[in-house]
Amino acid sequence: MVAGLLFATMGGDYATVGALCALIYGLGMIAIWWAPDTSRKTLDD
Amino acid sequence: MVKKPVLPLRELFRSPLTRMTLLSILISSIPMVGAWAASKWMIPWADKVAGSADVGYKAATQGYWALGAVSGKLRRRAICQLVGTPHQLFSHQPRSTALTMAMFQLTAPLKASFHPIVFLQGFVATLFFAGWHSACRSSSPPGCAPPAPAWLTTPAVSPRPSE
Repeated sequence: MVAGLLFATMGGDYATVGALCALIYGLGMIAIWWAPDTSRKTLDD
Repeated sequence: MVKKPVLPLRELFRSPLTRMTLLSILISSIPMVGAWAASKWMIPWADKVAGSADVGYKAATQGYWALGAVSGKLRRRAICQLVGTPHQLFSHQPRSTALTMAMFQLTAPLKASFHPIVFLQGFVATLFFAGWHSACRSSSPPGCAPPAPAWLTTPAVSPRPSE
């Protein structure tokens, strides 16, 4: 539903909608700083 | 053999795990949305631009993307050793953003550069799902995680020599 709305808002321009969707990775760059580093931990039962 | 009790799923949403669960959902959904976004818009775009000139172009585009994704998966261990475990998620975000942006803004279907960029975008965007933890661990001695890159572990300021 959101994708359709975004597509309609951008006038059916696939290139613009695709580029806008790529910005989601920017959110990931911010969120990752709150994640703990678990690479040296083992899974507990 | 005593069977351990299985904890209900709702335990994940109780303190002190709530914050970590929500953060994990957020972080894991970002690469899914990013990869979905690329493939969601890339294929109909290719069909719209090239469909009348080349009916197979849409399928070829999907093929290039899938080939990139599979290649990335197969090379994950080598990449893991190059990048290191702790920050690979962070370092992949700008790469994925740049390649997705390049795919949609710097090239277009039917241009010579389109399919190579589609391949690279597939390679990088799906590396998030490469199973880093297991891949990095299995490339190290048993029970030993790979060392962090030197730039992460070396202090920026050298300690003072003991007097």
